[in-house]
Amino acid sequence: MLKSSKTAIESCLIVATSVMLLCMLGLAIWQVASRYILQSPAIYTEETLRFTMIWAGLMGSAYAFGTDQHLRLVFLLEKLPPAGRRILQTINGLIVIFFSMVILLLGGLRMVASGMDQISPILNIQMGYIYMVLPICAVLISVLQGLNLCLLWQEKNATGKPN
Amino acid sequence: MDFVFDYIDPPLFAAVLLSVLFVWFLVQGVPIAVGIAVSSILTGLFFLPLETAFFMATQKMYAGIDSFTLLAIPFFILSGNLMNKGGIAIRLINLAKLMGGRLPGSLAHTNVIANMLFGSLSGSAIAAAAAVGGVMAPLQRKEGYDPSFSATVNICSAPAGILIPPSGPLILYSLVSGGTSIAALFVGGYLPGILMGLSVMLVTYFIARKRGYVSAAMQEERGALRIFFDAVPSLLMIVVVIGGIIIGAFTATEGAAVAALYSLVLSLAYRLATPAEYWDALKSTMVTSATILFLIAASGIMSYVMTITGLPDVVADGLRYFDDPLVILLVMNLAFLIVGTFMDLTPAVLIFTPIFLPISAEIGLDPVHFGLMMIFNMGMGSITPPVGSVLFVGCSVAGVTIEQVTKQLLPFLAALFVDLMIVAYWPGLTLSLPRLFGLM
Repeated sequence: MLKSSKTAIESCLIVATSVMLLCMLGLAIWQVASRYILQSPAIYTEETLRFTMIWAGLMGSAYAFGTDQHLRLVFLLEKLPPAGRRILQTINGLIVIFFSMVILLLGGLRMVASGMDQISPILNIQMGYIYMVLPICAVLISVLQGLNLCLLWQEKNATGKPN
Repeated sequence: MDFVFDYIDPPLFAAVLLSVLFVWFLVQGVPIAVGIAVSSILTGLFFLPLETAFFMATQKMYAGIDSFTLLAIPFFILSGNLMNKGGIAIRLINLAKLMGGRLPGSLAHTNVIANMLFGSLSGSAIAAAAAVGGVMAPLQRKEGYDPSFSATVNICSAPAGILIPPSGPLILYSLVSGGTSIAALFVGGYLPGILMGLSVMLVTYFIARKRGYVSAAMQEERGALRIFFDAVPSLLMIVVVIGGIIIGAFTATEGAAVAALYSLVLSLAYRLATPAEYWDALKSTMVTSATILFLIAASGIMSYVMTITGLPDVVADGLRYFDDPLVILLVMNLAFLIVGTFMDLTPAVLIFTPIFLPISAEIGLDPVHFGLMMIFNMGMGSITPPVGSVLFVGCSVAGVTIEQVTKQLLPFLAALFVDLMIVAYWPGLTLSLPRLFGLM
């Protein structure tokens, strides 16, 4: 149950971000093509690309937290006995959740609120909507990390010896 | 919390606290990006009101990745992944076989040349180590090469690809150094990158001769011209992409997009990859790019905290103690090498550029020279145990352990260290080509 909901969230994230990457490629090519072939450069592409990259990058990071693909050192973890490793992994997971709750969620919500008065120069959208990716990511990261921790402890209870 | 400052100089305090916390989180196994962010915020709390510290952190994270140039990195990674699966890599390897075929240990030389060719199309050492090593390792095993030796050659020559343009790390450096010209960095990377490849070949030559690895008779009887023409469409990408960036036809980001499109079109034409492999290339590009972007965002907080605490001055003051610029240069390089052994290239560049760039300018280093020297140095860091991304990938594609490779690394590292000293003390190596092209 926990595992399947985690997989479902992660699949959605990776499909969405990969499609965004393809769209970015198309837009960037269009930016070059419109300049050289049509002689009239598309002005909206730069800003759209920048915003899309930030959204895709942060949502992709949430996926990477879920699947444990962020760079980190594991030599201490690997040296520890299973019980110690589980405790340290739990502490590390809680640090990530704390970080995303305080910096990405609280700070992000404040940026969303104050960004509603800022208008992006070219696309004319309220920056608050762009900043929305920060709190969204905070929730995704916390949920995925939380699920990982639940799975970690569930595994222990199920088999008696994890990993 | 000002009472602390009655006893200790604030910048020094910040430097100590930040490093201790960061290393603590690192060892504990917290994702490096989160370790950077949390240790910076905790340090910042001593200098800023609580609410300001947290809110600034969020803003700096966002500002760190709000950059059009940064978009070049996912595109270059995508293009490398496509080349890997789509049939471009194998054509380059065949061409390299042609060029390295007559020396003792020819397959190992082929591996080095292929890494340099691959590096001249893709911007990642990891992609080169995976693509070229994956093909060359079984071939060399069949010819009776020690698998850990062939893996070592592959690993040591792969970082040439991040010096030979295009290069993701050089784009990253350009960004954190406050806009050093990407075109100048790219052109300047050719000579150090070629130097790296040639020295690995030199060491390979001596070891192969001693062990009696013979030059394999040319197995490919398809004719040299045929092999060459097969590789021409791939090599043309250098002209289009790097040429386009240098003459200013497009920005690095646009060039990266063109490179990705070019690789996609060629791969589709070669019909080697399956739809599932295209999808995998896209997915793994997204994950790699996202982790890099997140690291950059987190380092936005760190460089802000460094600025408000005056931390770089502490390091600069410490280095000034050595007085002689030549000694400072050496100390700086040794520090990078030590850091590089346990920290990966991306976070190391993000963290150490803002600290060391000011002092390097003070002793008269051009930012292009400093950047290339640092990337060369950190590239060596990515192959040295215990931690190194190129080392890990190179070992896993060759099916050998890190310990096996470690035993073979020493002569190669010695040669690369000599190269590093040449890069550091002879600015002409890095700066003459950019000057020739009028890029600086």
